[in-house]
Amino acid sequence: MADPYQVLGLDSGSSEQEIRQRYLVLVRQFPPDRDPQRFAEIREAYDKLRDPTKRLKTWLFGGPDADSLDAVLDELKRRLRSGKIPTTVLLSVAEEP
Amino acid sequence: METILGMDFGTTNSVVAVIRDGNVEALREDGEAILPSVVGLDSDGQLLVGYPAWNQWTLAPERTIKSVKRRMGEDVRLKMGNEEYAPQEIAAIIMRTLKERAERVLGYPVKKAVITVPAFFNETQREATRQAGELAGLEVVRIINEPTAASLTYKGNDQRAERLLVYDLGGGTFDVSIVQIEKGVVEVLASHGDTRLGGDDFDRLLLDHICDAFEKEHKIDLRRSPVSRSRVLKAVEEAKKRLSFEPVVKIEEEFIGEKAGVPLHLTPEIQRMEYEVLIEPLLSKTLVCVDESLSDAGLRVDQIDRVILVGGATRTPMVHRLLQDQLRKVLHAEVDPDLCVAMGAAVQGGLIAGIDLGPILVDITPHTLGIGCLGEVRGVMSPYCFSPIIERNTPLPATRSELYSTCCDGQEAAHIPVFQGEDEDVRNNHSIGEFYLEDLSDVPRGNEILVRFDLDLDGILKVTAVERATGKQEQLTINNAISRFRDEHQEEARARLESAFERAAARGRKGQQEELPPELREAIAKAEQLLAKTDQVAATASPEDAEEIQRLTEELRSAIQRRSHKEIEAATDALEDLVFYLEDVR
Repeated sequence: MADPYQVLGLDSGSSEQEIRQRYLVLVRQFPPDRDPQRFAEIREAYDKLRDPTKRLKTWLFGGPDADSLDAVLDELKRRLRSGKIPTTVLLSVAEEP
Repeated sequence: METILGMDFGTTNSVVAVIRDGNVEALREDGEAILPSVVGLDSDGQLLVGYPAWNQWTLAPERTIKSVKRRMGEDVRLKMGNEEYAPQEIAAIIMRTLKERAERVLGYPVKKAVITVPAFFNETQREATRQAGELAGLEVVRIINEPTAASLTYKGNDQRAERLLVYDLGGGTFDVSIVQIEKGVVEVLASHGDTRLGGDDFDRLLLDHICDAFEKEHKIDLRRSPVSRSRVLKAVEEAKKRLSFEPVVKIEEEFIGEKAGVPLHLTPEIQRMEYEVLIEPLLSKTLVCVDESLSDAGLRVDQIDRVILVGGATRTPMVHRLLQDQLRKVLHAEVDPDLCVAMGAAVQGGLIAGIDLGPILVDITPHTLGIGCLGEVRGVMSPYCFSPIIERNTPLPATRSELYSTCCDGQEAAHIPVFQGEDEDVRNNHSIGEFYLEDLSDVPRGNEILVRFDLDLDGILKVTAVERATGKQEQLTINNAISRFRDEHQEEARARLESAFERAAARGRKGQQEELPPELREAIAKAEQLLAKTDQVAATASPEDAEEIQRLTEELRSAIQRRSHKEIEAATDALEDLVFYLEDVR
C-alpha cells in the first residue's frame, strides 16, 4: 500500500490544513475529468488523512504488515523506540470535536 | 473549440444550454428556452414535441405522453396512438428536439452532450437516460447529477470555503445535495432524494381533491375518462402555479360532463391553505432528506452558508417557509430555477471540452453499491445478505474490492448478484444485474473470490470477479431490461425515430416550399434521392463503411435542415462518392 503522505507529496508531520490545501491543489492539477486514475489515487490518500481519527488509523494500521494486532503492535513499538512519533497526529485526535 | 451541449431532460420541462463566447447561455427560440417534455402524434400520425404536444394533450391524451422521465429505467411499453414505445424512445424524441434547436440557433451541427439526471437516479435509470441520448444521435460525454450541475452555476467566493445546500424540487423528482466550494474545487459531500416526488404529485393531489368533491356532488368520477381527467389535470396545474401568487384560485372548466342530458361544469374554488394541507406530507418528506444529507455530510445547519433553490416546484411559498424555518437561512434563487441545471451541464461540457472556466467538480455516488451473499441479516443467517463494496457518498471515480469465499466443498460456480441501496437485506435494494463466475477449481470451501467494483464519473458500474488462486475472471454483463433493449431494439428504435423526424421535417418543408429558391429546392430533392439510394447500399456495407455512411448521411440531413445550399451540395458530393464506390465493389 502506498504511503498516503508520499502520494500527496507531504511529510508525515503535516497539519490538517496543509493536507487539505495540498489536496485541493492536486485536484486542480489532476481533475477527475482529465485524469481519473491519478485523481482516484490522490483521493484515496486524502481519505486516509483527512481527519484526525483517519490519520491515527492510517498511522497505526497503514503499515505493510498490518493484518494482525501483533504486527501492528510490533510496528508501533519499533516506531516508538526509534523515536519517530508524529505528535501532531496524536495530538490532533484530542482536538477533534 | 468543440461544442458540448448541456441538456436538462426534465419531467415537465427540458432545456438545452451551451457555452458561447465564454458565457453560459440557455438556448432560446422565439424567446422561449423551455421545451415542455411532452411528445404526441397528431391526427395524421405526425410527431409533435413540446408546446404543440402539450396543447393537444387535453384533446387527445391517448396520443400524447407526458412525464416520461418518471418511467425511465422501467421495462414498459408506452402507448402513443397505435404504436408502443419504450420510455427511452420518447425521451430520445425530446433530446433530439433539443439537439435540433441547438443546431438551428448555433448554425452548425452538434454531436456531443452532457445530460443531467436526478442525483438519486439509480444505475438502471442512468443507463436508460444514456441510451435515450444515443438514440437521439448524441454522443453522451457525461451523465451529471442535477443539483451538482446547478451548483456549478453558482459564482463562489474566492477567498474562503463555502458550503451550499442545493434543494432541487422538480416536476417529478426531488434531490438535495450538500456541496462545498473551496479554491475552485466543487465537492459534493452528500446527496439524498426521492426519484418519485415532485410537482406532478402536487397536481395529482389537487386533482383527487377536486374530483372527489365533484364525485360526491354528482356521482361522476371525472378521472375515468382520459379526456376529462387530462382537462382537470391541466386546470389544476394552472391553479397550482397561480396559488403561488394568489390566496384563492377559481377553476372554471365548462361542460366537463353530463348528467341526464344536463351539462355539468366544474367551478371549484381552492384556497392556498387547503392546498398546503394537501402537499404538507410530501414537503415533510423532503425535509427528512435535508436532515439526512446534513448528517451524512457531518455538518450542522449553521455550517451551511447558502441555500440554493432549483426546480419549478420551489416557487411554492410553502417550500420557502418550511425551509426557512428549518435552516434559518436566507434562500437563494438568483439563477433561474428552471434553467440553472442545463446551464450547469453546459459548464461541465465546457470543462470536458477543455475550456478553462474555473470550477473543478468532484461528485459522489449517492447510493451504496454491493453484492448479495450468504451472511447475517438483522442477526439471522440469510442468503440475502447485502455486502456493500462502494459506500454511498464516495467520490467518483472509485474502485473498491472485497474478498469473498465459497461456502461449499467443490463449489463449481459463484453467483454474483449486484445491488444498489442501503438495506442489509438485498431484497429491499435495487437489483442492477447478476452474473456467474463458473468453472471454479475443485477445492474445499473457502476458495477466495475477489470482487472489484469500478464506478466511473457517470456513475456507471463495472464489476469484475476473480478466482484468486487461478486468476480466472468474469466481468458483469448487466442482464436487465435496459441492456437487453440495447442489444435487441436500439437500431430499430433509431430507425423509427429517424423516420418520424423525417416525416415531420418533410411536412415542414411542404408548408414552406414556395419560399425556397429553386436551386435550393433542386439540391434538396437531389439529396433526398441520394439518401434513399444510400439506405439500399448501407444494408450490405461493412461495419466501417456503414459508420462512414451514417456520419455522412447525418451531415447531409442536418445540412438540409439548415437549408444551406452550399453545405447540402458539399455533403451530397461526399456521400455520392462513397455510395458510387460501394456500388462498384459490390
